[in-house]
Amino acid sequence: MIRSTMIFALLVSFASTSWADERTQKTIEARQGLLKVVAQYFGPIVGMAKGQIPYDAELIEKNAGKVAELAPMITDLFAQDTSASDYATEAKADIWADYDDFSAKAVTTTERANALVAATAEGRGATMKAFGALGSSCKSCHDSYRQKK
Amino acid sequence: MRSDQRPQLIWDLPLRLWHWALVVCLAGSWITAEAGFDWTTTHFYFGYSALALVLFRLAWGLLGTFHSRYASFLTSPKRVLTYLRRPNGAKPSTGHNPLGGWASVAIVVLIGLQASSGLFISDDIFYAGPYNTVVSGSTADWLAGWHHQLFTLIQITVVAHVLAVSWYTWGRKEGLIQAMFHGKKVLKIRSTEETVNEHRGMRALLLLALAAAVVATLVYVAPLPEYDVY
Repeated sequence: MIRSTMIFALLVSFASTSWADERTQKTIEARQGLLKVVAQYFGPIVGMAKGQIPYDAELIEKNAGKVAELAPMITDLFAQDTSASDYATEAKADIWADYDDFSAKAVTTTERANALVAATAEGRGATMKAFGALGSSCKSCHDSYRQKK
Repeated sequence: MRSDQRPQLIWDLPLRLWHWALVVCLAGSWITAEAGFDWTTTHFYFGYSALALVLFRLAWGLLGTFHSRYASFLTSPKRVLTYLRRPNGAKPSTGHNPLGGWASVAIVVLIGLQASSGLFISDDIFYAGPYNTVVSGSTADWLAGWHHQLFTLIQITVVAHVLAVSWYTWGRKEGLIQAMFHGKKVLKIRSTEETVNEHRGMRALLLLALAAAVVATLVYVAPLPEYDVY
């Protein structure tokens, strides 16, 4: 009886840790996916800024709009503290140590993506300036909260 | 030092200019790496320049004047060990000492690896080395890790180098640091073969132009990244 209770308890604890792990893993994968989607829309604007593809204000307006829609999801998906997990991630524990600052940076990114949408009506110079501001808001978060390779 | 020993030319002018140009590239790439986003393009140019300088030095090891050539300063491991056991008792070396010769190759190779790894990596936002597109994301991340670790190793090597030449300059009074400016040391030349009486400046210019052309071509022919447009 004691033995079977112990085995049962052991099985339950295994099962519950693996459920927790799976949930963490799903969250981390969703974050990585989200940021890949952001990069996918951000990429062509980088190409235009570098002169690798022709400048297209309409496309910038559209893609910056997508980034502005995606950026608020960052705080949704990072709300859960996964710093204790062993699952491979480049998210630093500092995110949850200073979640207000992290969220503020995500809000800045959303604002600057919207500013880029607006700037596309004001010509190429203003657009590229707004794009630089958006890029540096991405970088400020990566610098503070992403594990250095 | 006996009074009849006059300063002798050891380091040809191209080698000295190369040395200080490399110092500028290292300092410049460090500063621009720390200075952030707006300086990344300048960082790239320092890296390309360092790569061209490394190529130049590798060629100068075959085509430079006596003390610039590998044959004069790469000695057997046994001689390095003997030298390491009693560096104080050893006679002053004319050019590189047995350990310094290998150290110079090591640092050039390190800087070459550092500059080359930079060609493949990206900041995942805006900037990417010209060959970032030819490697997978995980390979680029792996190389980015090396780019950061190698720089720490280069910093350690540079500190060791500065300490070593300071010791030879002020401890052993061999004038190593001064020699990297005016090219000369006061010592007894052991054989006529060790005498340097030319700089081979024209040859150096051609080699440097060639090295720069190789790097510029590498950067120019790099494939452009492809973007998905929806």
